Amino acid sequence: MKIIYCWRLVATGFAFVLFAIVALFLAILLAPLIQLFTSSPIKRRSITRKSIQQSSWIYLRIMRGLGLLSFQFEGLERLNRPGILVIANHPTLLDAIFLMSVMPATTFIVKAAMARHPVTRWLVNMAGYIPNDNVGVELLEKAATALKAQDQLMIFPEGTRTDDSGIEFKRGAANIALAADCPIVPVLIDCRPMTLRKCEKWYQLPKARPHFYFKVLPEINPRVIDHQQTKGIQARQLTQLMQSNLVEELRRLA
Amino acid sequence: MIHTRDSLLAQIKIILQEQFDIEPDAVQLNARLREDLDIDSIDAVNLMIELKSLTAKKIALENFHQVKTVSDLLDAVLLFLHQNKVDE
Repeated sequence: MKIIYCWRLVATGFAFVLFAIVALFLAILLAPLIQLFTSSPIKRRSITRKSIQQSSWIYLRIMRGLGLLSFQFEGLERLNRPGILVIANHPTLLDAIFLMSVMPATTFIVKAAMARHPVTRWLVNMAGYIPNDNVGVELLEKAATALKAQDQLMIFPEGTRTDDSGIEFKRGAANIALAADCPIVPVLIDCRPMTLRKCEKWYQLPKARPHFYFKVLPEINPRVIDHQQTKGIQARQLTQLMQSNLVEELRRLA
Repeated sequence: MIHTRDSLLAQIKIILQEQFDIEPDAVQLNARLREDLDIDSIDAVNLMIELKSLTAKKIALENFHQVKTVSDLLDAVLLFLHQNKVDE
């Protein structure tokens, strides 16, 4: 038992270092190559996203190979369409990496800290991911414009990882969907035993190897909300609907 | 239109209920807009638009940087009304 634990601790440390190396390497390698071979910013963006997708795909398989975790995806075909707003609950640090590994053309709305972090800022910039620091009207307009242009957007409506008080969506995601009048595709994320929560340090290992389960749920159409009501009330109702939908599904799993 | 603090509070209660479904009883002077009344930055913009019906002129968001509580909000609107009267 002790030996296995030590192995997992070392491997986990390695995985964190590897992440930083891959992210930096990608940025350093990609930046000049992309500058050299394409002049269009949109093309650069899409190459960067594709590279992030492939690197995270491989990275997660290395983690699995090291015996650090296992994972399973379900319903991925539901993500195969443009102009949707993808939302998910946010239990762990790895959620975004997992989703990036299966979504090669998506604009992720990322934590503002990632857009400033020395390791990730270059990639976030090149990929055209949107930092969530200006959660106000500016972000709302940017996001709605992208969706209307048939971009795919991904946002964690909680704004950060779930804490002890449970899943609590902010209303930004609902406001975006209402402004863009676009379908919402929820992704349920379940991790057992829990690991890499907001309150945990990387070296606090779970008792057993965690299993990640991702299930893409049927879309929610924001038009189910009565549009005669004020915007504020519509956003509250849609947020409530999105949240209870995910919470219900999670409860069903338990 | 002449506004007192009390009449303004009554009108703001109506706006908050209509716009955000907030119980008028919850709108106390010391209630914090964000934490207690759950008004986020997007709501704040909609609130500004609605306040126009009270002030006849659009209030810029800048006037509201220091606004944390219902009481602050009343002060900001009253100050705005006063300033605009002086201008005229």
